[in-house]
Amino acid sequence: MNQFKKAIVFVILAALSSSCVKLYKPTIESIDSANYVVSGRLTSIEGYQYVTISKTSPIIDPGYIPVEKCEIDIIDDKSNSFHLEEFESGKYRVWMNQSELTIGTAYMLDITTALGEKLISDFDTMYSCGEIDSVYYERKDIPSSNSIPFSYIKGIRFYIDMAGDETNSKFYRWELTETWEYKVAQPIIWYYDGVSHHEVPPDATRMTCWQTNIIGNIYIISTENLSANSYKMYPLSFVNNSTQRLKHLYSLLINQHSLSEEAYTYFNDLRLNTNQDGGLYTKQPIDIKGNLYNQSSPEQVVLGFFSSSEIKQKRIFIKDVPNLTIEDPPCDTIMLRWGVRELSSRDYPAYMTGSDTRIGSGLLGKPCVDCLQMGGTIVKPDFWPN
Amino acid sequence: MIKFLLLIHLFSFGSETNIGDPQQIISCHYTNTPFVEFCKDIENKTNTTIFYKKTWVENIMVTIDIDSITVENAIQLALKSTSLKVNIWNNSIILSEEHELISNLPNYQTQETKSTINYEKNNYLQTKSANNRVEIIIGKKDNKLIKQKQRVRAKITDKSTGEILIGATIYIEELRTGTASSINGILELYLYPGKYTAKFNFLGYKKRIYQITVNSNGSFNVQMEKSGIELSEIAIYGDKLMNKTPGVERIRAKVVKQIPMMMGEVDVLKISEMLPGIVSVGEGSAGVNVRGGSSDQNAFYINKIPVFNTSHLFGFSSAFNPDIIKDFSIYKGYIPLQYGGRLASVFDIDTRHGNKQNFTAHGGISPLSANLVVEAPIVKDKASVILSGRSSYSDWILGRVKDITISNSSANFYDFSAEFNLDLPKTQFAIFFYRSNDFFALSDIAQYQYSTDGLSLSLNHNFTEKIRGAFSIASSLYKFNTIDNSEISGAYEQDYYINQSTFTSEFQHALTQKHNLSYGLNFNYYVLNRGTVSPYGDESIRQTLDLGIERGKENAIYFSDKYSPLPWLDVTFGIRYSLYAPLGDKTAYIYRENKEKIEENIIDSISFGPYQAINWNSFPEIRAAISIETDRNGTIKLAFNQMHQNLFMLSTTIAIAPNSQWKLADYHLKPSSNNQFSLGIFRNMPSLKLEGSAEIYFSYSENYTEFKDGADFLNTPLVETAVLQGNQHAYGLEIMLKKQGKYLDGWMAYTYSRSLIEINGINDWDKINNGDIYPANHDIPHSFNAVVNYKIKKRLSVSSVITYQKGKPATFPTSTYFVDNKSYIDYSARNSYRIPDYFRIDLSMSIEGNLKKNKFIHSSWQLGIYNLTGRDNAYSVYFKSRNNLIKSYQYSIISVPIFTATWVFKLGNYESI
Repeated sequence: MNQFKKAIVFVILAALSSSCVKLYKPTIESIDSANYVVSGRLTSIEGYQYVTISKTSPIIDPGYIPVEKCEIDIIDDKSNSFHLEEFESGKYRVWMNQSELTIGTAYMLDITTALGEKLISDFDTMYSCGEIDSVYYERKDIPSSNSIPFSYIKGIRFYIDMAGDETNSKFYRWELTETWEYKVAQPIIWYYDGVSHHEVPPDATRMTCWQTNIIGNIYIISTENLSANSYKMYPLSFVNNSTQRLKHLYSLLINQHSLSEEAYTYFNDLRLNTNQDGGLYTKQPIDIKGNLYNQSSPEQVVLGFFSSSEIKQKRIFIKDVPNLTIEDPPCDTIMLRWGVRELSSRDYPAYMTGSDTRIGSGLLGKPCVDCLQMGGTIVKPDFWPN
Repeated sequence: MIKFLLLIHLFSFGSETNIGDPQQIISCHYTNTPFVEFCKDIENKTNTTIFYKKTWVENIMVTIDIDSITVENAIQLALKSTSLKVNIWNNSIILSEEHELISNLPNYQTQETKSTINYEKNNYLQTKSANNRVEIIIGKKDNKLIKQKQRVRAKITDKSTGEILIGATIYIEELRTGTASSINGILELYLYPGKYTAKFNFLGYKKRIYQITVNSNGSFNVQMEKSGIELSEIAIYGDKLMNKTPGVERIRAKVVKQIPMMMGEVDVLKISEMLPGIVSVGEGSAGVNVRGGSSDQNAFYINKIPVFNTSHLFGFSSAFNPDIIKDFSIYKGYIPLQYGGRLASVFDIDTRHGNKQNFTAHGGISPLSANLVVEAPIVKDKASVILSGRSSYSDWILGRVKDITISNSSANFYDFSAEFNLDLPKTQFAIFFYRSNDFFALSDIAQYQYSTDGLSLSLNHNFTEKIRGAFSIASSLYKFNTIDNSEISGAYEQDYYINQSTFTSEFQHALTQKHNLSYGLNFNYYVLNRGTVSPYGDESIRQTLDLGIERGKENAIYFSDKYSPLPWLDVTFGIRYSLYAPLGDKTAYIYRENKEKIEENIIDSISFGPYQAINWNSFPEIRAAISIETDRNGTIKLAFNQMHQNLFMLSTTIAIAPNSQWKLADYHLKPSSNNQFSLGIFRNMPSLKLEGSAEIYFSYSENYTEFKDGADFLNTPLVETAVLQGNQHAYGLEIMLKKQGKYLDGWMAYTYSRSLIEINGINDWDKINNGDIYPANHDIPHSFNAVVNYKIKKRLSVSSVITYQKGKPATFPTSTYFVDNKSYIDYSARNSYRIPDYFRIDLSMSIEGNLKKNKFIHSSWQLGIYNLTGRDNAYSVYFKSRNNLIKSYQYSIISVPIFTATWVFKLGNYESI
């Protein structure tokens, strides 16, 4: 639809060369109507259970607005309550033992804000979670979306097979966390931060790093319409060959959450709204309903969802993908005509080429030296194989 | 001889210096002007000298209101009631008192002109000296009949083409009553014997006033003549006082093109959007919203052929060639009982018949397309054909675009129609064929093709003097093919068609003087194939999905009575009983009770055999209208209207896309129904030449279809999983002021209209917007349109259109929030914001060539500027997230003024429109 509308514009304006899209500032009611946003996920794993409370921020000035000093309790259907402590601004937690996290139990949130407003959630039952059968990948080339003629992005796509039984929930969500190892070309020898530094011997501690990233996409299924409570080849994330992710060692951690039907509907709506391509006017966005309410002023919508899930985990490692060449950015050196005099404090520390005695005038790019420049950590994760 | 001329000269006024031309065409607008003054004026205008004796004309007052008339005829008309004769001599006009005198003149010629003074070749005619009027005597005097009303019938035809005129009106001044001619051009009145003044009126034609003397039953013919010979103009008519039908608008394509149009394409649908209560879904988009209804609630017919897509180029132009349109009626308040099947309105187009006297051709060339109409008699006065064709050549515009995707694209359309018609004394017969085709390819990314083919046969017959029947068979096939190649692995092709075949029979039955019955039958059969979504190209891995074939029948029987108990009161009451059944073979799925209708919740299925009814839906529809004439110039009208709809369009967008599918009501999807109540006040202000109307309406629809968020009709044959049904409330006020002056005419229309939707099912998934009422996508509270035509000179006129609309409703994001460190957008309640208001001024000028009578080709130029102020009107507003910041953009279709020039021509001077 959008495509041919665009074309019509060209038909009409062909000879007139006029732009039809311009910035527009709608008058949108702002912060006065800010709503509470509660995000809480109770898992079956013994340990801290986290709840965060924030407020919506106006569209013109987006930001994270934590809500502090709330009194929060998780209450189960046997009236046991667990009081949460604020450990960071707007973030609350409570340690729960395994015996307190049982399948079949329903949990709810009871929140009193510093202003005395009472927010409560529906009970959400913790259903049992089916097993993860296997997680694997396939080599895939996918067309890039907006280029003409088409070009392809090379990479791999992960798939999951889930094997549950009739006692398990029929609704699942997968949360993916990726970790990968990456390296830089050389140790630190020369760097400049207003003064020249020469590392002797060269500092090789920052040549290998590990980075961890939570994949934000929402992956959910319902097996309600299937003859068995299992699923084969559900497509998960795609990893392309333009970073070092698949160069050395890549790890994917899959957290499989069992969901209630209400939670499934919530996350599915969230997924559909996120996948919209900005054509707001042509298709209506979904009006997403969570399971929290403001008891003090019922007309105030509370966003977010409090869910209880049993979790099954699986971690896989990927090394040396066949038929895939990694085309990560090479180590490039920029020659500075005036040497370090061209650098400003913004660039510090600037890693430079140099001889045994003198700093050079080549500025080393990010893939060349000091892997911390690309984020990550030099502390090897516990689960990382030797 | 010389002596005689000198004698005349002595009596005469006026100058002799320049030689004039008595055949020159002038416009004459005089009211009670003394003859001497009238002559002076004509002499000044035309340099024609008029010789006469002052004493002959002392008491003659002239009243003429005609746009184009020869000098000679004007004078003849002015002297109609006298015994004075008009003679031409050396390009001067000489009046004479006595016959003998004239015959002696050596250069005297009597010129019998065809026009203007048209003494009907009718036995009943005789001239009468009083009141300057022609008298028609009906029947023979019989004193026995004096206390009984007599039936008086008049057949109204076009003088030059012989075509019957439908909707022409008669108004009996003394009785303040009138009626309109029916489908076979006959109007009928019951009058006590006596003398009456009868005014015959038909828009675009000269008014005729006759003195009628009724003695007994009888009939006569009236030939009406077109006013002016401009090539084109669109005039709005619908003498609301006379035809006494509330909520009807008529656009008569008498003569088109004064109104400025985008890209120079004349478009009756766009002109209809200037009327109160009708708004466009968007600039350059297909579809209109009538009285708050959605765009699929309007039925379109061209000569009884149902049309499912009325647009070319996605809505930039309408699929109807304006040059063949005779009559364009829009029913939005009280919908006559022969129509059914749509909730909001009926757009009914009648095309012209071919010229029955002469061969003629006319056409036009605009920046986008060219069109040609050819018409010819087959048997003079009895049978004729008319062919029309229109084709675009818009690819050259695309080729000029620097963007390679666009310059490799192609857009073209054509439409064609052919009609044969036969007019016998009691029977009229016509065959009409219509085809419209559109093709659009966006480089190799996407391709759209759609077409309409239609054929209709109609037969009208007068069984007795009191019973007339109209029968028609029509079939329409709308097809589209879409190829979407934008994602190689998901590329697909879809073919769709819908075929509707109808048979109708309508009877008009004048039972008594006070009861006019109308009854008939209507059979409809639908076949539609939503098509198969199949992979396109070798690399596509799209799964083939058959969306299924549907069949349905919709039959109706109706009856109505127009009862006129008092001269000032008309009551029309009617009932239409319709029966709709979707037919097999089909499998309907049963969903788990109290669960959302989604595929996962299917628990069972029911199979229906071929042509087996899936369910029966019967609807008695009651429609009633009351018209009360409060005084000579005012009427109050009340109407109640019930409608049902069994056919819906599957579309989540507001504008009608060329791949929007029509879908029949089925096992799950219920037919929708509507009740509308309207009240209107109509007032004529003759002294100001103004006509005003104000109407209010309330309408309530049940089972209004809305689509679930994210509905995709190419993903599932199970439409019920994507549809919700609820209620629609609409109400509004429509005000219109029309002016028809000598030089200035036009109208202003203001509409206040609300359209609110409530989808409030029992369960959460059956609700939209939490079950709260929200504005429909096409809810436009305020809209104002003004159309002004100003005739500067005979051959030069300017027109302007002013349009204002409140911005359309939209859902905007109001805030952002974070869940698990990822940001999401929170939206406002549905449609609680509006995009910016719409405002546009257009200007056009029409320049005609000289109006000499015997010219071979007449032509004119239409110059237009669309969006004169270059205002950047928003079509939509959308939002994009860039680096965690939400940016909003406005998208407009036209943001600059567009200049167009169109050339229109006509072969010969035969009145063909």
